Amino acid sequence: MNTRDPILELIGVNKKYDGFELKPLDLSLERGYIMGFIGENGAGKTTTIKSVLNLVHLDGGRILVDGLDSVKDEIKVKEKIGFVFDDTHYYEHLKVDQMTEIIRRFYPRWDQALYKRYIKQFDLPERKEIKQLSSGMKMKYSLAVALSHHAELILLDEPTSGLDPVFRSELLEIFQELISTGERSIFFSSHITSDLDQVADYISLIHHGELIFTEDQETIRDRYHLIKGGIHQWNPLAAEACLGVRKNAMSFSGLTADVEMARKFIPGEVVIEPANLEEIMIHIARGEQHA
Amino acid sequence: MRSLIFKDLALLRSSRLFFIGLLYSLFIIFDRGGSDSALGTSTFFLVFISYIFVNYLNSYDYMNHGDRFVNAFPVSRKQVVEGRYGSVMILVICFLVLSYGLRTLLWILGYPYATGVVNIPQFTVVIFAVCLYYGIMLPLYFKLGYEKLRWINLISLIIVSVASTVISALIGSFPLFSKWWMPILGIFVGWIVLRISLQRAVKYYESRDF
Repeated sequence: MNTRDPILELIGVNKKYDGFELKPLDLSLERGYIMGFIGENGAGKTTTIKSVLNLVHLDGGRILVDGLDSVKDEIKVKEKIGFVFDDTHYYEHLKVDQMTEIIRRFYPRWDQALYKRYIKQFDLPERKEIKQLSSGMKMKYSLAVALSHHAELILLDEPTSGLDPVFRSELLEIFQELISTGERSIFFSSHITSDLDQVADYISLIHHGELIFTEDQETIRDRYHLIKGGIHQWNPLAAEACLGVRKNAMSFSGLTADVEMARKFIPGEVVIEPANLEEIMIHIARGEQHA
Repeated sequence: MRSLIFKDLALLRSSRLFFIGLLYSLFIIFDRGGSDSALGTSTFFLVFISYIFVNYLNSYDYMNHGDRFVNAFPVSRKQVVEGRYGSVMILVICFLVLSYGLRTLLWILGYPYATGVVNIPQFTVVIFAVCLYYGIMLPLYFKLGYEKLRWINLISLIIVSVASTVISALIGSFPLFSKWWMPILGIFVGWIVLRISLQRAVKYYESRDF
């Protein structure tokens, strides 16, 4: 383990499909932190996670995991990663212990005692068929598997979608526990922004394959504001200071990272308030794009 | 690669297909595959039964996003392909040992319908048919995936099975095919076919995105 290197580093990662492009993407995640990766469906979240696992071929850039190249050192890199996909890919007719028997052979650092501990902690029935497990149980099982080979980077692709709020809350607590030692990091894609508000140290927002920002939560709270007013107050010049604007017949709401500049163009009384992640995402994804 | 083969065999073991394999073995005992056999029924069934098993693995992987799942583990694409070739070979060898082994055992025990031990020409054709079939179909599977291939797969199976059955029935008339070295030659040629096929399959699979 090289503690000086970021656990995950994406350098100019680029992937082109017909009708979609993941534009050159730069990201870095240090050890001991959770990074939330948000964006609307089809924004490029899953493509990014697949790139880290070398499931797709990059058209440009490179990915380093603990300083190792994800293509040249593919096997070593994958040994360091625990993954949880949005929908479980396990062989449904197998029992939990049968599935584990298959999976553990892929990992030289598999720790059966640790696995048993997680099974007990998560209250998972080992003799049940996977298809009989609830969505939450499947997610917990995926997590137990991801953690039992001493993964240093946990990749989670929409892990909380489809889970009830109580279970989501439990899962988020588990995530916080996992990083408490400072040895693991979590890269967590989601469109449920309230989950990320609670646990993520850093947030990266992707929209139409382009990284809009990657910031720590405090900076986001300080920097991004909503400026709201009546539609008669709207001045098209203010759009230049907004990342996204939503308008209806009565009012407008603009997301800005430069309140002073936006305020110059908008006369009269307006409401200025810090934007939360959901508002940021909605304004960028559904609002008119400007700055 | 061992972990991948283990995965395939564990999946088969946990399915009801396992019993079909045993049923096949019982059926093959009654096939009069001795030197006086006119029809190589067992040739057809050997290709067919291995097809059912391999197709089960392919379809199961397809239904469970197996390509994405397996390739997220610490394995390379090359190892995934080699693993599937390894599983296929193990299955074929198991069926060969089971069918010819049981038949030989019953022949030794004096069971009246078990007239043959190992029919060399038929054995050669079986080996070659299996290598040819999988040598063509596996690279196509790794290039196109299960769904696009399933009808081609079935049609090829029928062609290869029927052709090998007819050939094994005809070659009884040619003494050359009864020579002891014919199975060795069959295995050698089959091995070359599979080696070339494996290289193509790896190349195709390495170019895919999941």
